Amino acid sequence: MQTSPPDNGGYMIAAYLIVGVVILGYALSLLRRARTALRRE
Amino acid sequence: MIEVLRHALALAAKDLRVELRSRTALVSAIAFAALVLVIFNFARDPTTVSSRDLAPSVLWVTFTFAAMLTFNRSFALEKENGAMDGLLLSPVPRGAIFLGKYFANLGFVVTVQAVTLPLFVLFFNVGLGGALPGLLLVTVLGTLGFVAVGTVFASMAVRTRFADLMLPVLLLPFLVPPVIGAVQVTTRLLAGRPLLEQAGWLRILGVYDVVFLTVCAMVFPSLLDE
Amino acid sequence: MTPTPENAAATIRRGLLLSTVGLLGLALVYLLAHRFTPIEVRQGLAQKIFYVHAPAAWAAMLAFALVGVCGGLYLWLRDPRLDLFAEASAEVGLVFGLIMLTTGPIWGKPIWGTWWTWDARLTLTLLLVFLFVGYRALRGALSDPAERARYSAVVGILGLMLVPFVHLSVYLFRTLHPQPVLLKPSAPSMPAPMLRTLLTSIAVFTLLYVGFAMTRYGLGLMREARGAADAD
Repeated sequence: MQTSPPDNGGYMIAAYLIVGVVILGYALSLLRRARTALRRE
Repeated sequence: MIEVLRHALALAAKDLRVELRSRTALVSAIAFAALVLVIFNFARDPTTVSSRDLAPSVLWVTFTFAAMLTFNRSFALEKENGAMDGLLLSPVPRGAIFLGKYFANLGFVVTVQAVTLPLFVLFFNVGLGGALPGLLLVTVLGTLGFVAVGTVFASMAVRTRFADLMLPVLLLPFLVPPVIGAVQVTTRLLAGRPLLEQAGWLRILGVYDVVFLTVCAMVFPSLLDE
Repeated sequence: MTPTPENAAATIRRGLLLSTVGLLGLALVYLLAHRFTPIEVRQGLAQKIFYVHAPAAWAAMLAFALVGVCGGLYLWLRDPRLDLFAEASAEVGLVFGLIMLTTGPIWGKPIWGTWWTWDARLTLTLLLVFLFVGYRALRGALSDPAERARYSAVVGILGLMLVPFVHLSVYLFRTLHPQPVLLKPSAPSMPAPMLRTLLTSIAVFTLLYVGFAMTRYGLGLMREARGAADAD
């Protein structure tokens, strides 16, 4: 019977890192495209 | 309704006649099916994987992939010769165009399946036993739905530059439910289970067919708009 | 109705604003998940992946549903803005779908011992991503906007109809995916702090979807507005 949780924090870090990178990356991509679109006005 | 069916069957007959003259799509599909069966026989370690275990999956992969080869053919002629305009200008009702193409595709797919099944029995040494009627039923139920979706996607894919790539990319997700169901049923039938026991899966296959045939028939006319 | 560059610009700006709020919300979720949510004893820290995986799944499904619904509405009403929104939703949906496909296995390995399982949810996600990719590929291959809109709408509708069948047929297989803890009629079987983090995350991801989709929609509007202006 386990009394302490398993040591799998690495997976959590990896997942949260990926989520952060992907979402920020996409947000930046949108921002870049938006700047181009708005600048031409 | 009868009018539509009459026109549809006439269209299908025309397509079948045209294809039978050159036979290229049909022959490639059959050759492909045979080749797939041959390769699958060698693509395993016979000492660990029995052909019995693999057989239902091989059969349905072959059925579906060979069928996909025939779909693009269904609109290729219309695209090349601008014959679609001719079709649209004719008094043929729009609904009949989809049904006609659908019936033609069904005809080709069934032909390919009719050649594939005996080859499959031969190559994989499958003891059919009394399973043949059930197999025929599940083949029909597993086919009606995805041929409808394939017909719709073929009419779209043919308008792109990468028709042969576009069709499988779009169609593959739609093959998942029928293939899952069909393989489940085929496995059990080949293992000697009674047909009635497969009613659950067969019902799902049937519903899939009805839903997609209906939706495809309903949306197809909007694809023809100018 | 042809969009104007002014409308498009306003939409883009609004979308960017919502997205920024969403990003701040995401930071909040990260904080909540790390500092204010207990560690599940049996599953360990890896369980916390749930707080980003499940909301991403929800956002991807929402995006997908809207692609299908807008497609259907487009075929009925023929308003090009519906098609433009569907285009935006498909792109955003793909992003969340990819998050699902990556976080899913990363969650599965420590919790279930295997990177991939062919259970209902992961399989549906995979097919959803294929459909998103196919949808974009088709759009990329068609140049006439009306034709592109009609064809995309059909793919969207058919894709949406596919979902229940995939879910059902794959579910009838044994599944390793945990049963949804929120959808029980009685109280959800999660302690309050976990539930709070999860619900916050769902709200944030929804906001991110709306912000991203609106921005992307605005970009599409601008493209069409510019195209119309250039043609004059």
